[in-house]
Amino acid sequence: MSTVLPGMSSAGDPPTPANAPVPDAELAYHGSRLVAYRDDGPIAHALGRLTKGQLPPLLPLLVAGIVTAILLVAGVNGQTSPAVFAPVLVLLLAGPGSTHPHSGRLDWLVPPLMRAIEYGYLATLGFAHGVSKPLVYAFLFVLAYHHYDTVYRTRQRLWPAKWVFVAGLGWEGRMLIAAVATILGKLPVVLAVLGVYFLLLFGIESVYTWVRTGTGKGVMVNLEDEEEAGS
Amino acid sequence: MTLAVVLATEAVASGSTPTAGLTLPGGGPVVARVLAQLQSLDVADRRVIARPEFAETLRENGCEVVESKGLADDLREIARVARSAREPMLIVHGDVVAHREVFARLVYNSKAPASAVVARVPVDDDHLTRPLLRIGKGRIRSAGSPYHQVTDPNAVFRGVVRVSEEETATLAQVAEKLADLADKPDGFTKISPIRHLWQDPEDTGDAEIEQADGDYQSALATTPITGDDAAALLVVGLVRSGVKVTGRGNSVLLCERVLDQTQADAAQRAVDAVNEDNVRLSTAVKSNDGFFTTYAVSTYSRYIARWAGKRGWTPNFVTAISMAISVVAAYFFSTGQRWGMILGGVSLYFAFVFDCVDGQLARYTRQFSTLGAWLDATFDRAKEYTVFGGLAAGSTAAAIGSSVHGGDVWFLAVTAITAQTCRHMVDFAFGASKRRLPPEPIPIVPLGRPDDRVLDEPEPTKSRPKGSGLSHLAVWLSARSEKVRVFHWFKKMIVLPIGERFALIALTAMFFNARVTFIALLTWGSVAAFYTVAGRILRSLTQPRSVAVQK
Repeated sequence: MSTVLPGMSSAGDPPTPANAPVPDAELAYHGSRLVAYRDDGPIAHALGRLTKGQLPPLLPLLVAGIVTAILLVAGVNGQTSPAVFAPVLVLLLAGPGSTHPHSGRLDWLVPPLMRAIEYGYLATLGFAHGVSKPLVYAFLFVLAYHHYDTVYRTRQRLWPAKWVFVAGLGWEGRMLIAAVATILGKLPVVLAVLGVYFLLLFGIESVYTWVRTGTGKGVMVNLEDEEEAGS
Repeated sequence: MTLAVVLATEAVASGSTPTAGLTLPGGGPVVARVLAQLQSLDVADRRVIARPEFAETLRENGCEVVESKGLADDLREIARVARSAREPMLIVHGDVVAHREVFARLVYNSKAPASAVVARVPVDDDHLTRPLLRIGKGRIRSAGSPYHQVTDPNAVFRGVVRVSEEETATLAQVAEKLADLADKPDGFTKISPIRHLWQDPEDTGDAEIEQADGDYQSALATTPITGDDAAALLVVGLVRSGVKVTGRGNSVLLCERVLDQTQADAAQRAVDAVNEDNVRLSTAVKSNDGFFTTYAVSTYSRYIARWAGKRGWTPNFVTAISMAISVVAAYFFSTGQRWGMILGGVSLYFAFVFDCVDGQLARYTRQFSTLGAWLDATFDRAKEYTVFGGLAAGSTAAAIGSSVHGGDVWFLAVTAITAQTCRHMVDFAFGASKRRLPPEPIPIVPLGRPDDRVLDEPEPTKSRPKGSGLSHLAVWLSARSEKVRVFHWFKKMIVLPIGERFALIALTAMFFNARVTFIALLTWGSVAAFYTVAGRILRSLTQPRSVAVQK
């Protein structure tokens, strides 16, 4: 797990003097933010270790997105319809890229694509298998909370603990469980239980962390840099 | 905590009194006010350096004075203080008349390794009364003194410089070196202060500086500095040692050295002419907000911020109010009644107003906290997505046949939360992936060298696309279109920023129903997503293929 968040080591480093040519740490820090935004779970990360970070992440993920869309269109209603196989394919395609430093010019497309695949898949599956619609919405609300929270933390250089990513199961874990639950015909109850679990996990952990560090002095972050869309 | 060294080394032309001892209309010598201003900003450690003949006058005014015979001693004393300093240092001329806010910003808001107070003024070859500077690419690139020439200057130094804790060691070294040069008979050579190379008077660099104006200004800066200017020399030293010194200036706030009684009087009038609180308040409003925020909220939200500040409200409290109002809005939307939709829209608007107030209050009262930054950002998202939920619930709850009834729109709500989260992730990830290479180091120039020719750059090219191909053209077009006001706002609005989103939700909900709201959000959002993603892909493709620095 040591490479899940390579930036963790640089979080506490003193700022480098303006004239010192040491950008490596800084670059690694920014790349590692993209890796953190992916929200990989233990399985995706295990696959990533096999490739030792050599596989560029974007292209396989694009293919994974297209494959997911095709499978969802091909059939989503039955317990063994094509859509239930999508998570395995996405995992095989996108998992091995999880350890890549995400230093490519267009690798910033990876986190949003990941969210589109994950949210889109879970929502479509939920709607097709009789999950209460407000519950599907609430489930995504909780996941979105976690994903925004990760971003807002790294901006303040407060990296989420590794165990949170493991306990959160990662995108692949959540998609796989949803697919298995569909095959067993238990998706509504599984999503409800998972939703409550994530609400407690992400909610309590994040509020606890923030309140604990909140009394420290604030970092004036240049949000303008990141919010060209005016948030 | 900051440490201040106040220099009272300049004499008025008659030679008998220090300029720092000039009396301001309304009482008291200039230096006493500088010291009082610094004291009010928690600058506990304030040291005055003065010539022996002035020391008595200043002591009578209640200053603790270190006597110094000349420039070399001034610099050595500063070096001594800097060596043992464990905090940021301010070096201030004792004859500076400034708004308290100028010092406050240096003490509380400065993050740069070093910052000098500067003014962007037209450099008039016949009236070179102040040390010259050339500012570009966010830093002072060349600084002047009687012994150091500046090529193509575009600003002047106003007698105040702040050095961060990390750079005090450099400051000590620089002061020591300069002192040695000042001691040597041929250490410094006088030189004409200015040299013209490519001068473009329009080029202000990218400093946040505008020309100062006002009726009183013409009387200021007319008398040349005749005495030793250790502060200007230290700026030269820092810049030439490769320290990033930023220029801080302001078109409204005054910061100027006064060298005779006429100037002291004029400066006081200029100070009195400005309402500092209003300046603070208007700078508390972010300058790059969207159209709706700028014209429908920020026009008056600052007064709420001031009112809240006077009552001692914290930004986090205002954030909580805003969150509470939007929960109320979501409840109104969920009623499925027309009156609920209207009240919901109005509540949502005020939730957004208070959302702007919290940030303005934080900047106005300088209360920044990690928790505050998180609460603000997280609650912004929570507000929006809670309202989505309320709208979807209300649409189903509304009586069939009523104008509020939009049918089952949970599917649209789920699409909207997914799309909006993905759009934000594009922003965050793109921001995180930007290559922030450190600024190109500027060449180190020996302090004894009078000119700055080694810094000469080739003639600046006129703006045109840098490379070839579609992506370079697009980036160039984007930069050009910023200059046209209509395009500027169009580009701001097309991305559907938070103000426009809240307004769109409020208005469509008030007049139509949730279905219309979600469809409007998704339509505009798709255009926005296409525009930003396409633009950023093109922008990314103009970047070098691989990370430039890898060992």
